Amino acid sequence: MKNIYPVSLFICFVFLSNSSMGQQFEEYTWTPDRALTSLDKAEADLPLLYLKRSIQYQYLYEEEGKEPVCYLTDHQIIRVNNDEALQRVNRIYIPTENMIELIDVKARTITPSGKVVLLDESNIREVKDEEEGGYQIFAIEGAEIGGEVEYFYTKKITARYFGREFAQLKYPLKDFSFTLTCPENLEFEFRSYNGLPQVTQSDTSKSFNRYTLHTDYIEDLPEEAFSSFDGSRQRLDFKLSYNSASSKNRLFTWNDAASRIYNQIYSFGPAEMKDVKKLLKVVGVDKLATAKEKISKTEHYVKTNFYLNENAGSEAEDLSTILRQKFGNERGLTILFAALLTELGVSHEIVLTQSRSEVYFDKDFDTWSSLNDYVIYLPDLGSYLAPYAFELRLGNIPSDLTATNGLYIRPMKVRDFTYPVAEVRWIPEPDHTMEFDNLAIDVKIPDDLSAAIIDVQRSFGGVQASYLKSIYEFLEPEKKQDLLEEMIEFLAIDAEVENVSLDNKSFTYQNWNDPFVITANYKAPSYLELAGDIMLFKVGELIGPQSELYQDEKRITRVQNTNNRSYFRKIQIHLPPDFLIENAGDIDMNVQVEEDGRVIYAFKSTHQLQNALLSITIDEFYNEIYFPQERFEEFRKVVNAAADWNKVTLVMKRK
Amino acid sequence: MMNYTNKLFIGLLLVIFLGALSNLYGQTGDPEATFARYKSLYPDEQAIYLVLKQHMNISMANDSLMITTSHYEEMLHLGENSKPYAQGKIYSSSFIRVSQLDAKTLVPAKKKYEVEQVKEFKESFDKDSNIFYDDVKYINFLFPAIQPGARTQLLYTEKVTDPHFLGQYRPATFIPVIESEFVVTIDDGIDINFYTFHGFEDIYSREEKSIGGKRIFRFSGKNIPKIKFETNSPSLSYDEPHLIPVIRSFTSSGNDKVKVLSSLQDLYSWYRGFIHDLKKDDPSIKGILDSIVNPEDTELEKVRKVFYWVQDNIKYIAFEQGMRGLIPHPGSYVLNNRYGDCKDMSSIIISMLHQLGIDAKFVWIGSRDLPYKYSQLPSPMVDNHMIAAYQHGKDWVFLDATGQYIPFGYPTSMIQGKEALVAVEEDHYELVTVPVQTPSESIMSDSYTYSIENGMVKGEGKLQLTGHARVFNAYKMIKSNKTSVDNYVNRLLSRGSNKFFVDNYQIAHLDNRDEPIALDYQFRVEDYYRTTGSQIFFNMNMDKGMAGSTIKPDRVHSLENEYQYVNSSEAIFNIPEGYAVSFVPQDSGIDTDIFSYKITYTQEANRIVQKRDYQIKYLQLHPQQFPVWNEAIKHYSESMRQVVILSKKETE
Repeated sequence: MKNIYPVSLFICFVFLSNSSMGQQFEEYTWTPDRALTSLDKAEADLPLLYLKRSIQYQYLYEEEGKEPVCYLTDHQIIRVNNDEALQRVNRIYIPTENMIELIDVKARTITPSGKVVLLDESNIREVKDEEEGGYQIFAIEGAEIGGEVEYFYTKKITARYFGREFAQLKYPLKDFSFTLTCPENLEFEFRSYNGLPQVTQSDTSKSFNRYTLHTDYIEDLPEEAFSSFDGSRQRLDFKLSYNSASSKNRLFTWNDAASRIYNQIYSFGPAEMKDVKKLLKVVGVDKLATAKEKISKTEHYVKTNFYLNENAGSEAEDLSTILRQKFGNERGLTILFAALLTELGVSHEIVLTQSRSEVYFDKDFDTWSSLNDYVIYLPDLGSYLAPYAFELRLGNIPSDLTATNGLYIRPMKVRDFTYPVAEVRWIPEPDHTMEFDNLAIDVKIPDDLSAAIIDVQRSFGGVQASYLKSIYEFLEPEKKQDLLEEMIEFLAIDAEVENVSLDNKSFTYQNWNDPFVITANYKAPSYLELAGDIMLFKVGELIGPQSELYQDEKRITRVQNTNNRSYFRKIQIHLPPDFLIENAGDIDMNVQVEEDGRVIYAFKSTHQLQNALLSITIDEFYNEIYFPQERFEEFRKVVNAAADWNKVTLVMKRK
Repeated sequence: MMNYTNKLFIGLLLVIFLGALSNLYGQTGDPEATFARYKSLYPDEQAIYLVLKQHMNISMANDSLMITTSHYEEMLHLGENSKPYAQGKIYSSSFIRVSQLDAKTLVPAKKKYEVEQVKEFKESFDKDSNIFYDDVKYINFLFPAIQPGARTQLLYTEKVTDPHFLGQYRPATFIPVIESEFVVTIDDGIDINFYTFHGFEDIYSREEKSIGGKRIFRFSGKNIPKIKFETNSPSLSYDEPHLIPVIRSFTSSGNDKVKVLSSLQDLYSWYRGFIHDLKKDDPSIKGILDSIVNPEDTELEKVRKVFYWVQDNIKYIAFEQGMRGLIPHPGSYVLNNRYGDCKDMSSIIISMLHQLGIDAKFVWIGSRDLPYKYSQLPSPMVDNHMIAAYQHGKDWVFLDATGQYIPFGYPTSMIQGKEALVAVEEDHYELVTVPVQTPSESIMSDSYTYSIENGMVKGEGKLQLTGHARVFNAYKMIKSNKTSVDNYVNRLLSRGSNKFFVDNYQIAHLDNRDEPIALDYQFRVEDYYRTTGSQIFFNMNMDKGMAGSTIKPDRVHSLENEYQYVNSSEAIFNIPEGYAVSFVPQDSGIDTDIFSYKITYTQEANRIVQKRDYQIKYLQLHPQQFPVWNEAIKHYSESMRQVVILSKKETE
């Protein structure tokens, strides 16, 4: 969120209030003297159990004519029943970003024997962090296994207009509550996700509004493979929607966001455009025929000559400074690309979204908490560009920013005036043919059966290829070779890689999106196991280890793939002339999942045997990002088919 | 944001201390020529240091020492991918106060450089540290306009607030250095010693001169190759030439000789002050002891119980600010908080034992990251850790409660073989070498029995863990989340393939450090073996262990191993009914100083027993040992691919 708006710009008009400053800060406190919470047997056996979590936001006007402030309280009680559990919760960090004042901190531990040890507040320390915001920290004193750790803090912070609280944890939580109070001219809206109960407005009688949520129990959420943990947690999003003291209009709409962002991005004037023109001259785009080439060359130039400074302040958003210093922060680099595209005369839309590996963008709730990452859409090309993903080039953007919604900001020209139009639309994911990790393998077995001798070509396409190229470029020469070797060595535990090379070592704007192709040969004794006149050839191991997808418990979260992808393997085996295969049929497998008549996940292997040449093809792909948890078994079978194939062993007998 | 820039002061400083630096700190030379020259010398490098200089000035002020070190670093960017070197980071703490920070990029233009000043310096803390709170700060910044031909210049001053901590000089870095220099200027009357390591004096030059009441020492080198980075290497201090300056003494205005670190005795006397008064009667500690020890326990038993109690009840949380990094808290304070750092744990152990009338000692020691010995270097650079020790008869028992699950009597793996400085009496220390645990003191032994049916292997077994194998596995088995224990057990026992499943398991003695951890389990492996017609092919080496772990021939650094160990297994394969054994692999084995193994197959009535064990017998494996290692591993890997054949019996 920090990207989108500077807080101070709003405050004057948003929080105009005509109400008096009647409401007072209500001090939060805890039960003064208490014993250990009694638990039933099952609960007492848990290594770690959250007994309480209470979050309170209090918005208040403290000074006439000034924006309100917010008092935020977080209260937790945790039962710890083993060593690791205790060490997980005995160090407390209170974030101080946006904090005006730490109002109150209390902490205590109740030991199994009922003894209460209170925190000595003089042991609270501050750690500064000017990059990411610092902390007030303390350690829980006197804590014992089998006891309870309890603490709360209240801090005064600059008022936020958007919030997000994750209620569900990796551990069970009893008694979760959330409260937000604010002066009555302010109206907040809330959305609960993944099964968390809805917030209700519980009191409007006084001069303030009160919103509450309470639930007795939230089960722990396991971390599952092919899933978004944060995206699946029960959570609450909220925003300030109305301020009756200033107007009846809804606040912070998508349109408001669009115009704010539009003004931030397109803030450059003629002086800066002169420098942009100069830069394009250095890039050398004049003679290029198509817009696509011009964009590609410009993008490649920027991404090899500029760099990102994530923590930089507003200076890194000023176009002239960026052009001179060659670095910018995320928004700064987006501004740079917007200026370059404008100068190139390429129509484009700024898109804001949020990583779906964190939270799925809800198009129906206009909270700006979801406006975290920038991408640029080029409607004439139907392509996307990621302005600060230095590894990626036009057409490839980070996978976690695809297959989700984004806020598109389309410039609309009416006569001489351009104004932004906001639209929430889908950011499409590339299909499985774009993202691949393919193998072409040729195997020879010498007469002494000492090892399989293999020629291999491994080619990567899509985002993965770009990442590899980018890493490769940054490595020292000897480490470059190590990287290539590692990409081959994983194919056998004892692989002796002899020649390994990259097909094309010079990366340009024209070939950046081409596959990353490694050619090598290696020797692997372990593929062959010997027993008298019998040779066992572990043909399955030629494709490298394949992870088995375990699922003992019921699947809880829906499948979310990182990306669509495919693995195509073509294998040729020159069999030693005096051996016969006894079980060639084991090679053939076919497992697939269909949806609406379309195959979305598949693993299919076939073979052909001609004289002493065994040819195998394996086509494995995943072409749907999301899949419901109820049908998880079908998805799992395809993933595990690869692990099954990895175990195929050919029994070969001497003729 | 901090403002470290104070140009006037820097100017002044340069004139006073750094005559030589000021020439360099300019914008001279033709950018194109400079770039072309070094690019041709270092075509594969992304960046090089043109200059790395440290000027340390030690002077007398009011009978104490004033120590400042000025640093000057200049980097030349050569490649298009040198951006990672744009990041600057400077360390600062209460012992090393940084000031006068100035950083800039010289951007190549036509025939000259244009200056881009770094404007933002941001302070942060050490996020990777396992110390909860200390006063270490990092000052982070980013050099602007990095491009091939750009030069970055960094100048800053460190004020060293304690004469015991002068730091070290290591000329080589992970990128080549053209010119490196370490100059130490001292007032007459100050006695300094320079300790050198790993052939420093053979590679780097040393000059010495006296001017106007000062002595100047200059160490320098040119065209220093970069250090090769390799994983699992011992710390760089083990191989890289370096120098450690140590102030021996100085003469005060009253003509008294003030000792700083002229001998180990000085170091000890200084350290002694930190633990003074910690061993005294303390009623709050007395109270807790009644519930821990019995009066009839032997002395050794009492020590064991106290050690285990501290391990169980005092959690490792380190607060280290200023001298608190060196001074332990009193035992009662630690007892009340129930947490502490290594010093606090030592302190509470010693207090508790003192209360019981048992004499235990404070011990300073360096972890294996540090190659130094007190007997060779009287400096706090030698250590980074504190433990307690108790003398039982002639033997020392080392008590390092930071090793959460270490059995009584074992030192933690990180201090094996290290020299310990034991505070025996007020004015008397003893140097004792901590023993290195033999492989047979850390055993992972597995015995299991299995049968086969329809392609599946099914069986049960017991895995036992002792010594350090016990310790490191305990960390993985004591978890707040059961799934992570399940997953770990599955990985630990994994054999055959990743279609290995643990169906049931039970862990015993996790809390009883005097017993091996015992893990009873039932398992199955799917799709493991092949059958054709009348024969079954079965590789009994389901766990291939070290197979394939050869070392690349171009490796230059040693390999480090946490602890030496034995891995042994006994597997009993029940022959399925109706089958007879028609082929059993030969026994095999090899014995070297660093790795040995032995595999035997015994055919009994209706079963085959395979015994296999191997031993890892090194803490550091040196490059000259790599060929022996690789040969042994190849030999072992070969034996891993031998298969048993069963044949169907002829039906009558």
